This record gives sequence, structure tokens and C-alpha cells, in this order.
Amino acid sequence: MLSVLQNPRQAAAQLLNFGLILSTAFMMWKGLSVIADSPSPIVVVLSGSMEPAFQRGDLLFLWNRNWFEETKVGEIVVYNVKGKDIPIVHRVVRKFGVGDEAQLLTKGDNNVADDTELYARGQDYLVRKDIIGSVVAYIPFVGYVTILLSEHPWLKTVMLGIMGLVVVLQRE
Amino acid sequence: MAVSTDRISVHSMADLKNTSDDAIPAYLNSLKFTQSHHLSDTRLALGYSAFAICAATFYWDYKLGFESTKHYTAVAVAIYAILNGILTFWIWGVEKGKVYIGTNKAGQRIEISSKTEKFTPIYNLSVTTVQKGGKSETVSIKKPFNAWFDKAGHFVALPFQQMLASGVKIVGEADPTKVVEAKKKEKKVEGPDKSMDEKWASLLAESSGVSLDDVVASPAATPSGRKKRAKKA
Repeated sequence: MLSVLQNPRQAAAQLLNFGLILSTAFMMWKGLSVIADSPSPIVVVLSGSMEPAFQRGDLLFLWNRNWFEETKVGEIVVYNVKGKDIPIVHRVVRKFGVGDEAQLLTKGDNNVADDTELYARGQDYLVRKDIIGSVVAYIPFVGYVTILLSEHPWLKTVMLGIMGLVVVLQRE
Repeated sequence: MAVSTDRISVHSMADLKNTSDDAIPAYLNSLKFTQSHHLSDTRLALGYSAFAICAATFYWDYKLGFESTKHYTAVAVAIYAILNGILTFWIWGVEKGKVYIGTNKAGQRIEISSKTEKFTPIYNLSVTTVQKGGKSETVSIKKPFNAWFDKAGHFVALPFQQMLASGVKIVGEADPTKVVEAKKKEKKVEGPDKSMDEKWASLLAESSGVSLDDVVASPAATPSGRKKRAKKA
């Protein structure tokens, strides 16, 4: 503590190193968001409703720009339902109309019925702006860590403990 | 205070280097050198501006959501990338490991940069002295860390200060009592009374092209012995 007071520049530099690690991670995420035009360009599959295409824990990369063609039937999209904060990954199975006003119906490959049950009360279809991106690439299974962490909160405590230990035991 | 009360791990190169780096400004400032902080101040200004942009982005993204702020976010990401690029250039291209810049009363400037190689416990200093007229001279000093760290990891100031005073002319002039005659070399006798640590140190020094007795190194010495050894292996 005394050394911090004696050398404020060095303390500021150390704090900055830590801050730059965090801010660079955040800005890379935001950069990806801006490029893909999606508020959440990487998502983890939480349910088995798209099996056998996607399993729980698959990491999906999204693209939310219609540069060459409109979102069409057969595309796998991620959408948000008003009032629910969990994005859903399903396939577009019907489309009526063109442009931003086109009415889209989605369904999980592994589900018996289409998604009308999942939509908000009174909502029978999606429009383009409900969608936060189409799946363009995926990495199997690597997102499972986040599922484990959210389903078993004690793991977070364990992880924080390990990280704390590492920080304490290892300087620089 | 001859021996510092803080202890470091003698097996950590980062600790060895950082402690030695910190001792340079402490010593030279005590000799009435005026330290210039413009390199580190510029680095801090660049870094904290980048961080401030990131914090602002985080705040407006959190408050207003993605859609309504995405154009500002794009600009912020670009500025952040540019600032970080300049910062990287500043650290690698301008600072280049400089740990001290200072001027003495006579207006002579001294610039010291330090370097270590991985797994080689040798402290490499490059000291540039710029005279008032602009004439500059660079000397390099190489010495193993165990010359000023004891076994327990305490920093011992005297040999460290002697190294600087003997190796750099204007430091020696400012602190003449610390100058050790460079040519006062005794031929060391290799004998059974030599401890394991000493043997180890001389072996290490030999393999890195430094003589343990040699306090002052020649200007821009190249470690030719090292290369030969590498070829043989």
C-alpha cells in the first residue's frame, strides 16, 4: 500500500493493464456486434429443440445483414420474443410477403408443433426485426461451460475461488 | 538503507528485473538527476483515454440498447482500435524498455533501458548519455542479478549502485565514492573452497558471454561465445 502512494505512476500503470484487458475483450465483442449488426453475435444453444442440427452447448455465430438476399425459408435464425429475454434458435418454415413487413413462422426441427405457442400473447408471427441473426457457423459443445455455470451456480463460486488463488499466488 | 527489507523470489525473472528497474530511478534521483516522465505519462494518457471510450460505450450500450447506439458504437470501436494501435507503437517503438530518463544540473541527459532474456538471469542495461551539445554515447552493461540480490532475495543497493557509477561516466562523476576501478581484476583461483553457488554463477556468466569480475562492459558488446556454443549443441 505504501509503495502505491510512493509511486502513483506505477500504480496507475498496473491498474491500466488490468483495465485494458477487460476493455479490449469488451470492445472486441462490440466490434463483432457492429460487424454482424447483431446485439449478440455469438449465442449458446440451450435446448435440444434443433436436434440433430444443433445440440445443447453448441456455440453459434450469427450474421444479421441482408446484403444479398432476404431471410428466407429454411434458414436457421435466432429471435427474441417480446417480454422474454432468452433468445430462441429455430428454423424459418413459412414466409408471407417480402421486405421488413414479411411475416415469418419458425419451428424447431425436433419439435412437433411450430412456434406460435412460444410467441408473445397475441403474436402469431415474427417480423424481420424480431430476428437478431441467422446462423452462419458453429462450434460444437464448447458453449457447454456456460450452461453448466448457469445450471450449477456453485461452480461459479469454485471458479472464482480458483481464479482468486491464481491471482494471489502469481504476480505479474 | 543498504539492504531492502522486502524479499522477492530469486527464481522469478520478472521480480528480479522489476526490482532492479525500480532501483535505478531511486538511485539516480538521489544524485540530483531530474527524472522526466513524459514517456510513461504519454502511455498512461493513451491507455486511459482508450479505457474511457470503452467505459462510455459500455454505459450507453447498457442504458440505451444496441439498436439505437450502434453507429456510435462502431465509431467508438474504431477509435479504441486506433488508440490501442498507437499505444502498442509507443511501447514497442518509442519506449523500447526505457526505465529512466533524466537530466543532471549540467544539462546532460541520461536514458537507460533494461532487458532480460528468458531463462538467463543477466541484467542488460543500455545507457545513452547525451551531452548538452547533442553528442550522444551509448554503453551497455551486463551483469548477473546475483551481484546485487542475496540468496534470500533481498536487494543489496551498494553493488548495484557501484555498477551504475562505474559503468556510466556522468553517474560516476555525480557519485565518485561508488566508482570501482574497472581494471582491478584479480585472477580468481578455481579451488575446492569455491561454493556451489559461485561455480554456478561463473558457469552461467560464462555461457552468456559476461565475466563476473567485469563490472564495466565494453560498448555494444556482442555475445559471441553464446553463438559458438549454440552451434556446437
